[in-house]
Amino acid sequence: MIGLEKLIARIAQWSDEEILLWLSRGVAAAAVPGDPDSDTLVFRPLLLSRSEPPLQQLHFALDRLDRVDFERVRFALARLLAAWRTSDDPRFVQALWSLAVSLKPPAGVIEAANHLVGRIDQNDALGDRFAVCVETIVVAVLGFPRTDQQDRFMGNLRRTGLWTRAMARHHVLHLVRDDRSRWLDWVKMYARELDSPGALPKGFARQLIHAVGGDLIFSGIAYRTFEDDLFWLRTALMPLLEARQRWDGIEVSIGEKTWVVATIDGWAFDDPQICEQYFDYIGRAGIAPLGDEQHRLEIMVANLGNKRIGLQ
Amino acid sequence: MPSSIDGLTDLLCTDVLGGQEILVNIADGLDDGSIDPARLQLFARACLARLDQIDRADELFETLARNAIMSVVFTPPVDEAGQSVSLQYAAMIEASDDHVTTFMTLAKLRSLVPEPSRLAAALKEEMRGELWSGSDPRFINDEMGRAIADIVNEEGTESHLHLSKIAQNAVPYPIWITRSTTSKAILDKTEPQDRATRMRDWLGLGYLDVGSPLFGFQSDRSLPSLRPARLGRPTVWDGIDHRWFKHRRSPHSGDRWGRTMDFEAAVACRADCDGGPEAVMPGPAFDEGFTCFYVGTVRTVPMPPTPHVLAALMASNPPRQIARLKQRVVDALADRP
Repeated sequence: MIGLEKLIARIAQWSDEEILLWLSRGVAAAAVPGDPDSDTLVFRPLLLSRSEPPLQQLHFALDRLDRVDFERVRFALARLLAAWRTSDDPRFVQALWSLAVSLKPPAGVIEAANHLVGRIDQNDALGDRFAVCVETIVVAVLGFPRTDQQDRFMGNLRRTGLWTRAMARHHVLHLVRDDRSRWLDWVKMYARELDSPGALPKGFARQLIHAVGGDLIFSGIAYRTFEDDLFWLRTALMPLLEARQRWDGIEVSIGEKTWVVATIDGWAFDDPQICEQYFDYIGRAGIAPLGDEQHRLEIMVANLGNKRIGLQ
Repeated sequence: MPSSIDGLTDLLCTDVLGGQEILVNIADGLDDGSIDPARLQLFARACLARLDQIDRADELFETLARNAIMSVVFTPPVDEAGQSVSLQYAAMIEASDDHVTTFMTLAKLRSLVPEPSRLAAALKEEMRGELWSGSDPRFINDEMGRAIADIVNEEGTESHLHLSKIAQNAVPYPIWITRSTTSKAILDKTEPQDRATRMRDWLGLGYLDVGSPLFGFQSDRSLPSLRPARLGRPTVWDGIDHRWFKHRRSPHSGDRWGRTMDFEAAVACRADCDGGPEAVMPGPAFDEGFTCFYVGTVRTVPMPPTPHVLAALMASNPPRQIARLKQRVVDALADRP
């Protein structure tokens, strides 16, 4: 058996590669006889192969643990995160936070994240070294349900030089999943920090649709998205981020389906050509309306102005 | 600590994780000439030197000893003339006209993606944040698997993707390849949902656990066109970090490639456990005509190495004995000055 203190002492001496190899042997926690609450760990030798990254192998090992042992590993990881020192190898720190993303330590994650981010934000040299870890830390922090503490951490991080567009996108998705009804507020909150519309990644658009609940809000469009992401970006998301436009979110019901007109704005109504363009977008976004339905839709588009139009 | 070859072989038999399997594979390599006694001598001496540094009373001795032996292979020992001697690629073979395929998990693929690069950015966006940043990229759906393969094909060349990591001495780590025609035949006759699992078992990829997505990389160029700097039948040294490695193969193979351990055959205790053909070569660049394809997701846990691997290595008619194989290694070492 090896105690946690001994483990940490060893980690301090070892290179990143060595510790990952060590971890890859598998970590299993077991109670010391007579001390069931101890953090004492037992390392069970497991497979080790260059054919697979060590952390992945560790995960395989953890899969074999029973529930009690698994909980002990999560506690041990929380303590490892809290034991961060500025002299640590950044790749090792990043590896530990990668584990935190998957294992979700039961306590202390935001405190550890705050500690690390706070220190490196005040020190350029540390910032340069550990900036590579911050995105993983954000993913780990956002792996938990939303809390005030989490909001404060993200708010603080947003004001640092460590903030990136990828973090902004990740946080938007997290907030939307927490409260779908406010999805537009969240997107707007980060609009300035997101990439320019033309450069928005396809994956973000897709995940945003899923987070919002594509079937409800973007009925039809969600399905189309998989075939033509750029189309969706052009018609739905780009105007959101265009400062001079306003997203009105007009809902249109046709039969049992609800449509949301993506980008209708006052100035657009004055231009028949643009109106036609949006109609075209609506039509192409789902199953094309035919016959009477198409005619009614044409009338609806021609008379746009109300926030909600029902066609039964 | 063992101070003699006898002591080392004893240690392999009793105190090293997977040590008996290493011993049997060495003996089989000696028998068919894939391992020459001079290199084995060098290996044994280097192992003894490394093992001397480990405290026998350490509670982790079994694992540390295996690590020490692996490190001998990964950091080549130096011979009496002061030259470093690579233990990998010990059994070189000529490049045949085959087209080749290599398989890897999403975790492995992710570890190879250069950062920053367009490929990394596109994959990061395609995969959920947890999948990319976490340590457990498993259980993706087939749609995402195919999307990832498409992204690799679109961006792999531009982003200078290599199919193995490049060591500090600028030499690519080995990749394990199989013949495309053979692997395709196996895939074609397997139901789509079982293909990744079957490929894992057929190629003896024991590190592929349940839920692992499997990706194939197939080159449209034949081996001679790929111009591998080295091409070898894998020996125990190439597979030193792989507890499912098998050297011996059935006498009907008809080529010089190695044969993996087929898990289905091993679990069924069949005498012939030959899986697919395998060879090792330095990992090429993706732009050498490679196309990535998504095979599927592994649906079962792998065959545990103990006790099946040793049983499969020993299986023959008449049965082999570990003591005799150990003596075979001792004798080979004793023949050297």
